[in-house]
Amino acid sequence: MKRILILMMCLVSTTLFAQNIMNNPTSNHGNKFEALGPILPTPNEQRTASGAPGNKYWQQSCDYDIKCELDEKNLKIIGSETVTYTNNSPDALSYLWLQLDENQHSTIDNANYQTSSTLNNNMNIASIERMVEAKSDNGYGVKISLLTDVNGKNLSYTINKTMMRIDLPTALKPGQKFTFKCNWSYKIPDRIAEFSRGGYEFFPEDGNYLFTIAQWFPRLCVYSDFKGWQNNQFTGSAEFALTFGNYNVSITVPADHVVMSTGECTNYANVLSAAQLARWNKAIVAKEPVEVVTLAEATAAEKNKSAAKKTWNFTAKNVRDFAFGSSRKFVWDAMPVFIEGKRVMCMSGYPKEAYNLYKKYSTKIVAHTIKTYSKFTIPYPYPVAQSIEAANGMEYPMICFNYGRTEKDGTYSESTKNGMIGVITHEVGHNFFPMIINSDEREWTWMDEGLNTFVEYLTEEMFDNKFPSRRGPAYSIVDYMKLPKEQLEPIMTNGENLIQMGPNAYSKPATGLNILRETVVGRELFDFAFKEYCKRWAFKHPTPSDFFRTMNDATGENLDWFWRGWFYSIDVCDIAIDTVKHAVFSDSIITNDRGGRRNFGPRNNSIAKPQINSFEDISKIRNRNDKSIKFLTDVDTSLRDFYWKYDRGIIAYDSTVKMTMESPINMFEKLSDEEKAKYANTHLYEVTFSNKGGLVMPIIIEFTYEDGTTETENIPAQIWRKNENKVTKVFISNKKATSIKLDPMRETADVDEKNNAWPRLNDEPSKFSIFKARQVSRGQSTGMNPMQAFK
Amino acid sequence: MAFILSLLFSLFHPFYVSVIDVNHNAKDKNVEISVRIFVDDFETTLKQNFKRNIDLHKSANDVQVNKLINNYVESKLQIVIDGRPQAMHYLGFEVQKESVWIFLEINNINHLKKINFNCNLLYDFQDKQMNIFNVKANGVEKNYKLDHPKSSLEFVF
Repeated sequence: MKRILILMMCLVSTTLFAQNIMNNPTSNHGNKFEALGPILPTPNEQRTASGAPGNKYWQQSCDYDIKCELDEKNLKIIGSETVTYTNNSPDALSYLWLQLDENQHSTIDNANYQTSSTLNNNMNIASIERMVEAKSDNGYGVKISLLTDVNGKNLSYTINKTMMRIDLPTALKPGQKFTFKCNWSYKIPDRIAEFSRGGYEFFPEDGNYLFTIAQWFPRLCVYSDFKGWQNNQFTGSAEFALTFGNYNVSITVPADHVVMSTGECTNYANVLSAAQLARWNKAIVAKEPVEVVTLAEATAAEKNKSAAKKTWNFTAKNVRDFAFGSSRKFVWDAMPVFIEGKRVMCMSGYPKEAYNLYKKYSTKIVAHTIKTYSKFTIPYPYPVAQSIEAANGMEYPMICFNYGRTEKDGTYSESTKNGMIGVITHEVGHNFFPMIINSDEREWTWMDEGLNTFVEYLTEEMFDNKFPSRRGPAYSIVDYMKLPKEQLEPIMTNGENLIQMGPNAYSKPATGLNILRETVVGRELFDFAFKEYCKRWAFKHPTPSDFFRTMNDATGENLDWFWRGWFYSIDVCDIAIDTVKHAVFSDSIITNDRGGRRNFGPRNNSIAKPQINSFEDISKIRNRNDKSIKFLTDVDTSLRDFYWKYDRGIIAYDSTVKMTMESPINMFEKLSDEEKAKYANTHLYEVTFSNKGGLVMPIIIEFTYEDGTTETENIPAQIWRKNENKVTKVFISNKKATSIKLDPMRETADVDEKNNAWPRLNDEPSKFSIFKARQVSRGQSTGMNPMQAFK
Repeated sequence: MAFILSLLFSLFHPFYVSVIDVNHNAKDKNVEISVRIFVDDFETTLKQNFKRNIDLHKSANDVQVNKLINNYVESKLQIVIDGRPQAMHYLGFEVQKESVWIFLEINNINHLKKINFNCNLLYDFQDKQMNIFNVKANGVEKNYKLDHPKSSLEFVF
């Protein structure tokens, strides 16, 4: 319990400080490059300072044995489950929290996180109906009919809207397991009308349904070291935090339905026809997708509407959730892909309304996504990966529900095709984030959406070099980033509190990672570090600090300035070229002694005064009065020299004594004729940059020369560390430049490109001369000293 | 029915943005407007409004399609400059990668002090639609974002 208290205190201080704390707020430096340290939670034995799971890392697990029936006639799910929860934490638990997501569809049991509504001249009929419906119980939501322990004894439970608490008869100690049984049912909602992830879609033309059955069973919340129970209400918006476990699920459906589900089916022989089973066996070794259930079979089934039932059995290991699609409308194709020698069956299920698009692309995009993500993250560990066309866009382990239908005549527009490719890639990609690299979606939407959108972008770019990715390239985020500050919020903001999730949790983090990869750190270092993060946290629960720390740790670059600027602040990149000075080499030496400093003696001709402090400080006085102190120069008089006497006035300082000085010019060596020829064409450009947007970023500068050639230099962002607002740099070339441009490839998401260009280089350049200072060893005297004068 | 259709291509936590760039060209005395929308979102909206399938990649010269686009934009975007409602002159559209750019113009605008927008673009398609405005006049650029159902916006220069 004490450990929980300490962790809770760390958590409280984290939330208080989860903002961009400035180390030196009234100054122009000492802020943006400071370590994130105080902002991040204190490292502990569960999560190390390097961003890896610690040696005492723990997480819970939970296994499910579920039997259910999809009652198509009454549009109901009836289920019973036996759940075994293992407490791997060091804490004793007196209750368990479960998620009842379907309660979000109930007019009386939903989370009730309302938002403002307004009266318009034209009111949408759906909003009117919703207001009427909200006044009574619409009968949706989870109905629990039984909740007992393994022996059938009733368990006490409490439902708080979308969350249910089961009170344990005795506290569950560390290492112990608890098994309970639950029977439940719920009315399946019309997911199109309700804008819901799960539910049915009705096709009036053929009178059939397509069921997306998701978030359909009472399932455990996560109990973790960084939050305790993640039981924030499900509002329909921010997504899920889920526990890993093994599932055995039996699904009873109408006999002519095809079920596509998380996991592997263990009884295809019972549920498929002989012909379909034969095609399945062909598909397992095919090189192109094989239709296991054909279009002809699907269209025949649509008319038939069997009254019999079949039960499909599935098993899934080490998954965090379980979902399935069921319909007599499904065509089903499949082919294998091999990831590090292991077969992954890539499959698609789709109604005839999507046939021309999905047949051609879906399974192949699934395969391409699995292969490409496996290269950038970890090898895909599951046995299947599926894409189901369901006019949807949502992910579950090993299965996702997407969109992409053709016109009646089977044709489709290019943008429908590209949209489908994007959504399939994105949703299949979610297998990696968060199904496997299992971050808490309810706390940090960006950790799965942002990371997934980033790898989606990399994958789309591998599909077709001309693919029009919506999110990824830096310049595409500029319109969002230059909005007024009151319309923006940092990426590190809770998902329920965002006004618009799209740009904040999807695009901005994805773009940020792309900038890191292409512009700040480079592909090789980035890819290695990103893979390291994925390896460390696969099948575990990472938090943002684990990600930031791992990326620093593995790239060998301290990226805290980037995390601060891009993730914790709403600063934008707007770097401007303020001034440019141009100078060319001149043979004649310019006589102001800008090089002359300490090495070249006093400004006037007098000899140097004794080097003693003009003010005797208190330490010197106390030392002198302390009779126990014996000064070394009194003990060992061989250490006394001319200056010992000079300092005490024993040899008096005489200000009238003058010295002859060597002309400073003689301190310089003249350039040889060869050297003068070498530097004859040297041009120097002094460029002043100012940081107008707040974000410190690399300065990428491109010089265009008279002869048409260009030269680009990428100056790392650390140049801003001593002055976060303004830097000056001198550039050298042997050609005359006609223009200078900042960030020519638009890599830094600079919101104002107008101040990035300097075309006005026809001004008469000033001149500079080159000198070589004579080599003087450090600490060597350089003549003209009092010892000489008093000789 | 329109509402149901609008959800057909829903992607959870989607990214629905259009960008409206407005620039007062004092030299030519007109206001240049470009509206940038994701191609598939716009195709769905047009289909919903006009009950026909449109492939924007192939329709740049289609007179009918241009008329429909003009009708749609006119009905969803109204502009008032210095207190006087303005008519927009439709110039055409172009598809670039994932976006469609629609170009319009308002003529005979000598100076621009205050500009008001009433914008419902794509609110009929998606109630998560966000419309970002970038307005430039008198050497100054101002930006603002409208989230459904907010539809009116004013800039003063």
